[in-house]
Amino acid sequence: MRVLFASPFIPPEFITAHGHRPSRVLSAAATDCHQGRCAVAAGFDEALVRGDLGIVVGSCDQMRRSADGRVAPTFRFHLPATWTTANAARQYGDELQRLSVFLQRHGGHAPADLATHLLDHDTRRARLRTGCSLLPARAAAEAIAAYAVSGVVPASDPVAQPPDGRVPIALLGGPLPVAAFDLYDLIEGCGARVVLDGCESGERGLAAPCDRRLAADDPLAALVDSYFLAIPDAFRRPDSLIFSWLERGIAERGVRAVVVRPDPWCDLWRAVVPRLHDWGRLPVVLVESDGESGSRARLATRIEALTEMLG
Amino acid sequence: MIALDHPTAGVLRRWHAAGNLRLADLRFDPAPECLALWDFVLSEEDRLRAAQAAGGFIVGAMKDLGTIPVLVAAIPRARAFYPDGAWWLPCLQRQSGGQLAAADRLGIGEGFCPVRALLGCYAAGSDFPSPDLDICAVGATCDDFSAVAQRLAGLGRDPLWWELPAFRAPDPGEAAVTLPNGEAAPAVLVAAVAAELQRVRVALGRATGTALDDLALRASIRRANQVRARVREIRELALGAPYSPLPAVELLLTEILALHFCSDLDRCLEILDGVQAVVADRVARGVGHQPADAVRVLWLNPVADLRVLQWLEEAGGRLAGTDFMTAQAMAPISEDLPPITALAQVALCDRMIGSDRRRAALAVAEARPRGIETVVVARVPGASHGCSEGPAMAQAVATMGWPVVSIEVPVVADAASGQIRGRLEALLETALTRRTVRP
Repeated sequence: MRVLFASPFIPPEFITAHGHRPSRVLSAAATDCHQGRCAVAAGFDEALVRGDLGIVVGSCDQMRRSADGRVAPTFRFHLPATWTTANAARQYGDELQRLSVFLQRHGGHAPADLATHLLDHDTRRARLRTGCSLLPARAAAEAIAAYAVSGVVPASDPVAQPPDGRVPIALLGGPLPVAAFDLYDLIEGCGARVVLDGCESGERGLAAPCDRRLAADDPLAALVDSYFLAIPDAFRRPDSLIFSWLERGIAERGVRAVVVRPDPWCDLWRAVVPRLHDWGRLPVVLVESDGESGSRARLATRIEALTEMLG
Repeated sequence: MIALDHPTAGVLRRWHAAGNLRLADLRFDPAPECLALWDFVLSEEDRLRAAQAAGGFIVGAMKDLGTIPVLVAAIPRARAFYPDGAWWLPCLQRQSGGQLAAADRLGIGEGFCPVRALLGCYAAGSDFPSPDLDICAVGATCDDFSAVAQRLAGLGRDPLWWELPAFRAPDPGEAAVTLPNGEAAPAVLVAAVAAELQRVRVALGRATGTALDDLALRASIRRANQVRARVREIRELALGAPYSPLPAVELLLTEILALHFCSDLDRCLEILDGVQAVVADRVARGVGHQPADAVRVLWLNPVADLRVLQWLEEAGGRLAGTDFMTAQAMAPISEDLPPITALAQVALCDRMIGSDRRRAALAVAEARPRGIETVVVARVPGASHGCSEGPAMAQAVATMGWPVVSIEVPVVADAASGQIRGRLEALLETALTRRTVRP
C-alpha cells in the first residue's frame, strides 16, 4: 500500500522494509485554507485518499490536530520535542516499533532486511547531499522532492556550478511545497543564491549519514541516530541543533545571511527569527508568503535589500 | 453582584490601586469568602517574593498545569507557580503593565497567544519573582507556549524541558491502564511520562538539596487531593444547582487554585472551605445569581478577558459545563500507586494534549447530564490550536443539536463588546427558542 507522511522524521526505508510504498507529501492545500489553518497540514489531508495509509507526526499543533476523521487508516506518531535525554530517544524508538505493528496490521509484513534498506537509502541520500553542495538550489530541491515522493535519486553525478557572484545564503523554514519552488528563482533574481537549504523539504530534512556498523548490528538504533538525533527543527527543545547546523553551513558553504520563510500561522518557525537575531552570527531577513497578490514583490524587495547590503 | 466601589469590596481596592485597573470594570460576588478568593489570587506575587526573600526555592512551572506543583510541594520551603498565569495580566492591568509590548520587542508579537506576556515579566523582573528553576512541559503542548518558553533562552534562562507526549487510545491488544478521568491509556505512555517526571524529580532534588522521597511525595499527593476534592465539589454544585450559586469568574478562579494552590497550600484549603460553605448554603436555600431558567452553557477555554464571562451572565446565560484547560488538575491522584506513576496518570488527563475530538467528547460527556442547551468556544487570540476547536466541538454536539458559537476574546474585549455581546445574546435567544420550538 502507499503510505503517506509529511515529516522528515519518518524513515522511508522503515516503511519499505515492511513491504509498503513510502511517499512523502510536499504539497500545500491548493485553495481555501481558512484563517489559522496551516496550508501544509491541510495539504496532507487533501493528499490522503481511500486506499492509502497515513502517518501523522505530531510535531506541531496543526499536524497533531489534523488527524481526526480521515478516510484512510492513520497512524499518529508522537515525535518527542525533547531530544537530549535517553527517555526521548527511547520514545522515538518505541514509536517506530508501534508503527511497525500498524504497518503489519495493514497489509505489511514483519520488517525484512531493514539494514539493507537503510544502507541503500543512506547511499541515495549521500548522492542528494553531494547535489546540494554542487547544484543550483532549485535543481537540488527538485532532486530531494523526487526522492521524498518516490525514493528516486538522479542517476548522473552533479556538476559543480561556477561561482556567479551571487550572495550565498541559507533558506530556513518549514516545508516548501513544490508549487512554491519559484522562490529559489526569485532569490537568484535578487542576486542571492541558496547554498544551504534549511527548508523542511530541503537538505535540512535529510537524515544524517548512518553509522554503517551500527546499521548492521542494530538498524533501529541507527535510525534513531540518523533521524531523531540529527535533524534540526524549530519544534525541538532545546532548539540548539538549528544553530549548530547553521554554524556548519557557514564554515563549509560560506553562508553570509539567513532568509527565514515561515508558513502562515506557524508559530514555531516565526519564533526562530528573534532567536537568530540573538544568535547574531548572520543578518536575518524574514520573508512571509501568504499567497496574496503583491506578496512576491514584497519578498523581492526584502531580499534585494539584503543582497545590496551584503554586496 | 457588586462593583469595586461597593463598601464590601474594600479588600480589592488596594489591588486596583496597585495597577489592576480592570477590577473597576468587573462585578464581584459580595460574599466575604468570595472576595477573599479574589484577594488570595491577586496577592500571590507578594507571597512568592516573601518566600524567596526568606530563602525559599521558587519554581516556575510551565504548561503542565497541575502536576509539577505537587512534586514541588513535597519539598520544604519550595513553592511552584505558573508564569503561564501572566496571560491574564494584560487584562487585569488593562494593558498598562507593558508586558505585551515587551514581548513585541523580543520578537514575539500579536501572532502569538497572550501567554507571551510572561516574556515581559521575565524581561522586566515584574509581576512575579525570577524563578530559581524553570520547568517546562513540551511535546503535545501548544506551539505558542513552546515558542515563548524557548524565547526565554534569549533572556538567559535555561528551562528544564520535559516531554508530555500526545494522548492516544491504546492500540488493539496493547496493555492499558484506566486513568483517573476514566479514559484508557496505553501503559507504555504512562511509563514514558513517569520516566520524565522521575527526571524532573531528580533535578528538583539536586537543585534544592532534598531527597524528595516517596514518603514526602505521598504526603504532598494527599494534600493536593484535598484541594482537588474541594474544587470538584464546589464545581459540581456551581454547575449543577438550579440557581447558579457561584458566578462564572469566581468559578474560574476556584478551578485555577487546583493548578498550583496559588503557592500556599494551607491558605488555599481555607479559601476553598469558605467558598464551598457559601455555595453549599446557597444551594440549600435555593438562591443564586441567576434565575432557574437561565440558559445553561458549556464553555470551552479560559477567557483572556474575564469580563466576557460576565457578559454571558448579563445576557441571561449561566455556566453549566466548563473546560478551562484545568481538568487534569481536578482529577484525583491515586494514593495507592507509586507516586510518580500516579502523577503521570493525572498528567495524561490533560485534554489539551490529545485531539480536538477527544477534548470535545470529554467536555460534552461531562456536561451533558447538566442539561446543557448551548456551547461557547472562546478562541484564544493567536493560538495555533484555535482554528480547529470550534469545528471539533460543533461536530461533537451535532447529534444533540446544541447551537455552538465561536468567539475570539482579546485581552481587553471592550472594543469588541458589541460584536461579542451580540453573538452571545443571539446564541442565548436561539437556545431559548429551542425550548419551545424544536427544529
